[in-house]
Amino acid sequence: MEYLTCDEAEILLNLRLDGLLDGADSGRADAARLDAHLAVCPACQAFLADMEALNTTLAALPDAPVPPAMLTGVLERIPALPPANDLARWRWLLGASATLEAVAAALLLLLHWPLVSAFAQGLVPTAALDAAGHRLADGLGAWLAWFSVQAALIQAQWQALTHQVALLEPTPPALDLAVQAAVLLVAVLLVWGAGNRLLATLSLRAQT
Amino acid sequence: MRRSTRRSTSGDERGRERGRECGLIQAAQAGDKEAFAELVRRYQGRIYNMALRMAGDPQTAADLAQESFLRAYAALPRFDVTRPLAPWLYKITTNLCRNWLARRRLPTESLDEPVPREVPDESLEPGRLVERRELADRIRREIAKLPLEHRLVVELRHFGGLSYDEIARTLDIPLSDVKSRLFRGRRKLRERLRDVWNT
Repeated sequence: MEYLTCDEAEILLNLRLDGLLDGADSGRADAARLDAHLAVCPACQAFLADMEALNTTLAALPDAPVPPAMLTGVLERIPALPPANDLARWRWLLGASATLEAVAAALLLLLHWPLVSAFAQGLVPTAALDAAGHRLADGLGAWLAWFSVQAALIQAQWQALTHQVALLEPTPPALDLAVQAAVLLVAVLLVWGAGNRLLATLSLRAQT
Repeated sequence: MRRSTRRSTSGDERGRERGRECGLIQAAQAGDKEAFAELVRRYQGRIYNMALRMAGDPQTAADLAQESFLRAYAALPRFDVTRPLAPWLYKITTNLCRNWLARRRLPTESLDEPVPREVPDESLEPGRLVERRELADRIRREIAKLPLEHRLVVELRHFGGLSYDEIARTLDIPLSDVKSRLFRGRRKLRERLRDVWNT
């Protein structure tokens, strides 16, 4: 029989305490090895005794009483929420609108790719702004901060866009530059909206 | 023979209880607030005490527990009634407690305030009662001092009664992490509480 080290024995002892060693067919060999180790190792015997005492103590730990107003506090706040089924319907609409916006934004960006390419080369460092936004996007109140960071991002991108537009070759564009810039701004807003909806959906899913 | 009959009776009772709970969940999903209130009554003790062990403060624990039930109500239409309710509620509470702890940025070692006393057990002598209260407070404090990730696993295993698999799903971590965090958490508790058993 292969003998166990104390570290290996500790793992098997924990499994035994949780009832996952002795009952399982696959655990019989391990159980026998653990018993052989315990027979000659006072340190692991002491560990087992302490762990059994810990388990017993935790199991006997009494619960603190629930505040009497707990149930009424929950029930009083329920009417403030939309009916549960409505939430599910709105969540579906949220996802659908995000998808539509993302598709529309992709089409707009593809149609105006030369401008987008020029715009992308002059982007301000948005990664830092994005990271700051994500850190702030925790909880309902912080969503407002997230939106304001996004607004700052769009403003910075707009400045970069106007800068790039000024540097563009003076070849006659298919559309007036102001129109192209407006189209691009709409696309950016659509991406922004779709991204926020996606984050809101993911956040809702993570919280539940 | 008698034992197998008893086990069968116990299994039948569990099945009936599970059926009643499914009925309550479905009624609550259809908008029956009294059914939801019954679910809150059933789980408020476990959820409040979990929040109390995580937050260490009774008022915060009450707020976190109430918020857990409100989120559960909002998400109930998406809940699959074939799954057990308790791990789902624990997951909601765990996420809320995690977020609250992250916002507070409290070092886990700084939780020194005793949590409120449990309901007095009149059957115990006064001296024994004080001893038991002190031990319970001491254990709660030591659990609250564990690193958050160890504390969550110890909480869900020892007080939530979840299996390793359920803990892995609740915390979205691999099974191997459940084991290592649980074993390390227990080892730390053993070291810190050794004097309790060696006196």
